[in-house]
Amino acid sequence: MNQICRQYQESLGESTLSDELLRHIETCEQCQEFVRRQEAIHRILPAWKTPDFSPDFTLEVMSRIAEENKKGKTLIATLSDLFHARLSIPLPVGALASFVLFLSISLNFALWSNQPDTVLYSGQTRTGNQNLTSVSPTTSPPSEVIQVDGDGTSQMFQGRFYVPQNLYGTGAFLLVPIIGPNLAPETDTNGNQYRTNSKDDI
Amino acid sequence: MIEEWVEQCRNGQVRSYAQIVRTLQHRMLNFLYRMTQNREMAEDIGQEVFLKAFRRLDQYDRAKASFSTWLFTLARNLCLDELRKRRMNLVSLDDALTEEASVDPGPFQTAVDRELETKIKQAIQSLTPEFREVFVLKEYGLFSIEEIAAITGSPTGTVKSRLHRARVMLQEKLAPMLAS
Repeated sequence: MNQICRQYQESLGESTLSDELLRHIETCEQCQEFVRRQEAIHRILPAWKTPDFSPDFTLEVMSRIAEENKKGKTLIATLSDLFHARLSIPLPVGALASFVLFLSISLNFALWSNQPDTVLYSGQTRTGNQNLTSVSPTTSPPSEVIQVDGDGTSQMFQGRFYVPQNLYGTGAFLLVPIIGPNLAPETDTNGNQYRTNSKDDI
Repeated sequence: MIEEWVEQCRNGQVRSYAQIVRTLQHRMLNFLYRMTQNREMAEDIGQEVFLKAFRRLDQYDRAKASFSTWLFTLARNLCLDELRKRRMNLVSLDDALTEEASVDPGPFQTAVDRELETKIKQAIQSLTPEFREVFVLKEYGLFSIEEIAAITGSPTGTVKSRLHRARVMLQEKLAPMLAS
């Protein structure tokens, strides 16, 4: 089917057609056949009759409205009205996403500490026999620390990434599934995090 | 007139809503019936539509669409949700055969009409919901293309394309009936 035929057939039934389309139907047999068939369909469509619906339909609707007004809206109905936007994602996917988000935020708050003592900047190293104590019993204290990411969003110590404590609660919880057991930041024997505010090597 | 009743409802005159229901119920139920091909389901969904519309009357904006367009948007969404839940893609022949014709000219005519009705129902039911709703709204609901676009939330070009496609498919399926 060419463009003009499609354009004409899609416009069938509209009150006004362009001169071009009106000229087209005079000569196009394909479109003339389409119109004939469509008119035939229009003639038989009324054969599909609708049943008699309940004569009390209006009464039933108004009764339910009266009942609701007496009881007050249910919580579900209220929430449904508040969030009446139709989501394009299926409900199970949304529920799973909500659960993952809830879990991440919970872990985030569980590990929250708002007293970072030091911050390492890119290129800084700390060497020497610092007696570093690991908060997590599963990790051993490293003897050398190198920060590879200067913006503080992540720190790598001996090949393992750690989430800086001062970033807990700022979205770093999203790294939880990636970082895994390396969540607990390392501390030195004085209880300080092995970060420094100085940009020099320490 | 409907817009006046809507305003009265908003001002607390709940009884005006009964006028709205009475005025729009047949058109609404006909649409729902043709989408679901089940009278009970059409009535159930119809009740939910009117209830939902009543709860959300304060959200209706006369400047954006007519009340019937807004109502049919709710109906269409609820209907599609219900169809998805029940995964209704097959026509129920039992429904077709047990429904009584509203006019009964005679035994022979009734049998012919029933066969034709069954074929039409099967043909329309075989359309995907997106094509079916556009066809039903246009050919049975007598909505304009622009109103259908507002109800379905689709551009007018998409509505025209779907309607054309539905017509072509129905012409193919009903070709034997058209020939006879």
